[in-house]
Amino acid sequence: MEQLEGRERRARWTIPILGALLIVGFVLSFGLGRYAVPPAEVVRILLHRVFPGGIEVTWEPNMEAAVVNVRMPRLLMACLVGCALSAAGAAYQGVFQNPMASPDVLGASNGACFGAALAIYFNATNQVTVLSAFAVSLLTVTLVYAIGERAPGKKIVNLVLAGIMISSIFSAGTSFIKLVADPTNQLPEITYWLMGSLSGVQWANLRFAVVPIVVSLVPLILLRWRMNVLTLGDDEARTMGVSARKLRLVVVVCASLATAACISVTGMIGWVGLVIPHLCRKLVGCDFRRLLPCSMLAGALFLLCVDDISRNLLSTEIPIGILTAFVGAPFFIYLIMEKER
Amino acid sequence: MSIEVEKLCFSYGRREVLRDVSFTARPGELTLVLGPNGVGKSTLFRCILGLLQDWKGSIRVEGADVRTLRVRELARRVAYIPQSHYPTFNYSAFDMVLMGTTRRTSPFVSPGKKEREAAMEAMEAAGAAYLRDRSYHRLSGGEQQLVLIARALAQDTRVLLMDEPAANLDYGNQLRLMEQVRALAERGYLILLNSHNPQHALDYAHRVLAIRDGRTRAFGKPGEVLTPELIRELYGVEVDFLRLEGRCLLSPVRGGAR
Repeated sequence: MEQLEGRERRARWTIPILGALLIVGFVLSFGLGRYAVPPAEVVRILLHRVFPGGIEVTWEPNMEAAVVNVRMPRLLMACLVGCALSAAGAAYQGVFQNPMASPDVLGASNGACFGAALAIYFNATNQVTVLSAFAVSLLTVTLVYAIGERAPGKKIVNLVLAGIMISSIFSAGTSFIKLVADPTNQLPEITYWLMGSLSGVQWANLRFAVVPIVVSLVPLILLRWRMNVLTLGDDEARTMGVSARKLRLVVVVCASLATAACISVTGMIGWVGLVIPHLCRKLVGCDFRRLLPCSMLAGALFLLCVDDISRNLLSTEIPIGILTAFVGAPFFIYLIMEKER
Repeated sequence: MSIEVEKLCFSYGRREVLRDVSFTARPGELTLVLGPNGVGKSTLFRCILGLLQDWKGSIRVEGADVRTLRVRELARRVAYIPQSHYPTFNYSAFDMVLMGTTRRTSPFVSPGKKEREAAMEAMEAAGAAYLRDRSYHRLSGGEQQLVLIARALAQDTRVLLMDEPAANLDYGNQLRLMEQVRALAERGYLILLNSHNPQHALDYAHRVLAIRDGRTRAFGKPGEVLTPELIRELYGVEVDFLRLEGRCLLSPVRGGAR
C-alpha cells in the first residue's frame, strides 16, 4: 500500500515537473549553439518580441536574428515533433494493445521515406519533397488499414502484418531509388533525409506541420479515457458501449496524421514514439488520462535535449535520427531489463 | 424486462454452431446455461452482446430487438462479466471499475465526480471496495472477478451476462462467487451465466438452459430439468442424484465415464 501511495504522489507531480523542465529547457536551448547567447539575453529578446518597446535593446542584431529566425523555429519544431511522435506512439500502443507498437507499425515512416526519395529523385523543391513524403505516408497507412480491415481473422494481427508487408515494399522502393539516383547530389540528399534532421527548419516548415499536428492531437487528448477502455480488447470495449472499430479508426487516423506531418518535415526520427510512452508508463502508469499528457511533455523535452546534443556535440551537426537511436535503444534496453516496480 | 431468444441460429462459415435456441430469461432470476464444450454457449452470449452479427432468429432484450440497438444503447441494457484475465496494460482496480461508467458519458469526456461516486458504490455493492487502490495485475483470480462484477454493476444495467466466471477460481471462491451471483439475482438483476458445473445449477440457479447440438435441449427449474439422463446426454457420463434433506447432490458413478 505504501508503495502505491508513493507511486500515486509521484504520478501527481510528474506532469507539472515535466512542464517546468520543458520551459526551462526551452529557454536554455536558445543560448546553446555555435553562436552563444546568454540566457538573460534570450529572455530579454523574447520579451522584446512580445512587448516591443517595453525592453531596452542591449543586444547585437545578430543575436536577435539567431534567436528569432534560426533557433526559435527549430526549437519549436523539436518540441512539436517530440510531443506529436510520443503521443502518436502512446496512442498506437493503446489501440494495438501492444506496448511494442510505434508510429511505424502501419508503415507511416517507410511511406514518408519513399515519398521523399521519389521527390528528390525528380529534383523537386524542398516544399514538394515535404508534401510528397506527407502524401505517400498517409497513402501507406490507408493501404495498410484497408487490407488489415478486410482480411478475415484477428483485426489487430492483420493490421500489423499488413503494415510489415507494405512497409517492406516501400522500403524496397526507397532502396531502388537510391540505386538509380545520381550519386553526386541526389544520393547524399536522400541518405541525409533518411537520417532525419532538424537543421534548416524554418518558419515555413513549422507553419506546414503545426496545423495537421494540432488537428490530430486534440481528438487524441479528448478521447484519452476511451482509449483506456479500448486497451481491454474490442469485445469488452464494445460491451461497455465503446465501438472499438470506430474508435480505433479515429485514433489511427489522428496518430498517423501527426506522424506523417512530423516525418515529412524532419525525416526519419525513430525511437521517440516507442521509448517515451514506455518511460511515462513507469512514471505515471497506464491510464491514458495521465499517460498522454505526460508522454507529450516528456517527448518534447526529450527531443529538445537530443537536438541540443546534435547541434553542439561535434563541430559538424549530427543528424538527430542517429542520436535518437543511440540514446533511445540503450535506454529502452534498460527499461525492459528493470523489474517492474 | 427480460431476454427473449427465439429460434436463434448461427454458423461460423460452414460450421453450424447454434441451430435452434429458444428461451426466455426473467429479471430476478439466475439462469445457468449448461452444455458440453464447443456447444455454442459462448456463441449464444456473443450474439446477445452484439459481438456477432450474422445470426438468424430473434433476440429481444427488454423488448428491444438487439439488431436495432446501437453499441451504447445495448451497453445501457446489458453488462458483460468476462472470465478473470490479464489485460496488456495495468490499471488500478478502481479505474477498472470506472470503465464501466463509460457508456454514461459522451465520447470526448472523461468520467467526472458523478461517475467516480457510481464506481465506488458499485465496488461496495460487489464487496470489492477494499481493493480500490490495488493494481489489477496483482489481484488474485477471485479478486479480479469481484472487480469485474463491480465494473458491470457500475455500468448500471438490469441484465448481467457472465461467461464461465468460476473457471479460474478455487473451490472457496467459486462458492463465494455463486452466492454473490444468486444474491444479485434476488435483488432483481437478470443474470445469465455459462457454467460447466451442474451442481451449481442445482444449488444456486432459478432456471437452467441446457444446450445440445446447438438446440435448446431443456429449459426450466433445475430440480425438474436436471436428471441423470440429461447429464448423460450432455456430457456422456453417469452420475447418481443423491437426495437428502431437500437437497440434491451429484455423485459420479465410478467407471461411468465413457
